[in-house]
Amino acid sequence: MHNQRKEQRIGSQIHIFIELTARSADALQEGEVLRCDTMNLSPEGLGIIADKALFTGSILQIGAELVSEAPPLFMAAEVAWCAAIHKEKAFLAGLHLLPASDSDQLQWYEHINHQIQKSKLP
Amino acid sequence: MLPQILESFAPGSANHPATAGLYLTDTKLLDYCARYTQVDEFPLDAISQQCDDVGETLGPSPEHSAVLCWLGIALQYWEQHYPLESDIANKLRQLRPLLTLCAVTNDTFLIPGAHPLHQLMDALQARAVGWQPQLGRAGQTLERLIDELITQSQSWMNAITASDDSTAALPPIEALQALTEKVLAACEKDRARVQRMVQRVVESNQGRIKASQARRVSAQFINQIATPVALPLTVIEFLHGPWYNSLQLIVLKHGSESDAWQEVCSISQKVVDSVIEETASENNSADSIRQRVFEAATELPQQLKRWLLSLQHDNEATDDAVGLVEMAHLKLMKQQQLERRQPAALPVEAAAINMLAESDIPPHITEMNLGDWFELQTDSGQQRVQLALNLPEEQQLLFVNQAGIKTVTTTYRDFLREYHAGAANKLANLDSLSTSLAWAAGIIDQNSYNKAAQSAKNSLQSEQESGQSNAGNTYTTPDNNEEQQAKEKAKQKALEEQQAKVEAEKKALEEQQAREEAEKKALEEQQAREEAEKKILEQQAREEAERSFVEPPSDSNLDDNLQSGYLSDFNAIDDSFNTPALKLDIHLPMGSWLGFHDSETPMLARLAVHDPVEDHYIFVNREGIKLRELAGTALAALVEEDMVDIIETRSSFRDMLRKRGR
Repeated sequence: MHNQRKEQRIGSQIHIFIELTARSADALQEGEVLRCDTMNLSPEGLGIIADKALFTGSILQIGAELVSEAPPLFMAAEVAWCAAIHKEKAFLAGLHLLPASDSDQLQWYEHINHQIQKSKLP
Repeated sequence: MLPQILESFAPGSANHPATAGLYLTDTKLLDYCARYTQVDEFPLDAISQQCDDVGETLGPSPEHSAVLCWLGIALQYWEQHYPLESDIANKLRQLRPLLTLCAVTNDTFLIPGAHPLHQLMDALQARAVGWQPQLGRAGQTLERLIDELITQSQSWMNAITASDDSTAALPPIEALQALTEKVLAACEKDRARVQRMVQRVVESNQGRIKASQARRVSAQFINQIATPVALPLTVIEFLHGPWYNSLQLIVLKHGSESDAWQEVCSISQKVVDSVIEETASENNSADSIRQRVFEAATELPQQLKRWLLSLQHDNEATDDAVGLVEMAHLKLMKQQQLERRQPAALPVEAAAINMLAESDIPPHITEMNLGDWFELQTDSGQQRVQLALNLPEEQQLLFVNQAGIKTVTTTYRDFLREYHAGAANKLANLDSLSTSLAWAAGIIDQNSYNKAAQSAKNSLQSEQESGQSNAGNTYTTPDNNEEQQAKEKAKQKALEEQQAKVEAEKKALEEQQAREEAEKKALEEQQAREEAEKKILEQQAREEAERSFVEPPSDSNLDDNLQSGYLSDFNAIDDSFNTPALKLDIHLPMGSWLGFHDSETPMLARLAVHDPVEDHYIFVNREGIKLRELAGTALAALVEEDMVDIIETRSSFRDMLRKRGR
């Protein structure tokens, strides 16, 4: 699953917002947003530690806060796996970023690749 | 054998009809044999004493004297080299008259191992070697058996003394044979009964020793990886508790050389490595440390659960145990403080200590066989014990008594010390009387005895086959031995050739199988290549077809084609071949809500992803669960057909993110 890596990962910690539940179409029901931290990052995905379980296979909108002042990057991600640890006190999950027409995935891709190149420098 | 005995014990003499009157007649000799009551005396001495007592002027003939002398020396050798407890040895002396009687009347007796009484005495000694008075009831079976034999022997002796024709009253060979078979069967039954007891003792001790070994191996391993480093307290609790117990079970179940053991060793090391206290440095950034913890936290729990054999029956306990490691991982990932200390070493049992180096183990230990008997000096006195278990890896020996009860457990080192001090002696018990008779006739080593016994057996067999009755007088010459050996060699060679042939056939078969396997693999690879090429071609064809639909012909029947493009299955992807290419001229941002009413049940779905490259739309519900996938053309067709309502084109989530940036 998460071991079959195609891309190099870096262990950066950034804040991530995940839209667990969207606001209803009639706006009568509010959505739920989860804030969590990353454990590793790659151009195509990220590993997170969260306080709530994510449904494997679901497609969620996420925001990745690369820089605190700037708006988080808006992307779509599929939950590749999610595992409870320590009796569901926390959850580890792997998110796979999906190419989406109006997302900020390109910025993410460039930023992470840049970080990877930097980490390789002596 | 007779010439050999005569040559050894009455050299230069031979019976001659002219001198027959100078010696006791056969009848008289038999009578004296039957009245042989001073059983502590050897046969010739006892008969000579009787002759003196009654003023007999004649004595046994040279031939009989030689046989009696030979038997006496053999019995002396037997008692010295195959010693039994005095109570049993004294009882067995009561059988000397019967042995003497048979020695002077039956030529078969002169071939060691051939006469039924030889086999009977061999079996009795083999069984009695472990007899001791303290066995109590457990030893009474043997005593009763010997008593019955003595009674039978005495009744035959009484019949001879009471008869006018003592030769007619001799016990027939068939009766001796039947008696021997009865004794052999009784000994075998007793042996089998004791063997079952021994087996239980062995299994129980093997289990105990294996468990001890498992504890030792597991403790040594955990100490080796854990004691040098400061570990979180919860991880120490895990390693010293459920994991230690599970490692022991794995050693017991799979052995410490197994792949399973290698795997759990690797997992154990990963656990320690994942929680080890690391300081971020230039080459080991805090990020990379966190990443390693994250990877361990995602991989290890499943692996630990799989191998927590000690808690396999209890899922909750398994979760609790793994939770000890997860708690440490969680704190590390959240960069919280962890209480740490260097774990104390688990106690390692001392069995492994003080073992002899392999080169120091003497042959009398390495050559010991299970079932060998020994006389050991123990705290409770001299004990006759049988080796029941020898564990070379642990250098442990276990001895049982004749009742099959565990008596002594010792190590190679202790046994060696006792051996050198003369407190441990091996007790021989193989073919004891037969070997003694052979030795007394000048066959002094086991090899020569085996050869002589085999020759005698062969010649008896061949004579029986040819119907001859004088088997007892046959003496096998060395030439016969050589012939026999040559035959055996030829037989062995033929057997080896046969084995080589089978081996070659097996190898050829294996090679053939390997060839077939390789061919099969090549075929599969070829098929896979063809399959891949086919898929590429299909993909290319699809792309070509899609390109050709970009500008549909103006006269195409859109309705029909659109109809065929509708999906009855929410999760099915539209088939581009059946749908004329329309372009959706509305921009739908991620998060837009759409209402579909192209099926019986209208559906509200949110656009999760539009893949611009594939022009592919995925719609989900509020929780992100996939509801529908559509190609752009199919969606355009639905929109064109008014089957889709666009309800909301804004993403509240994106708005929230934008606000955050401001």
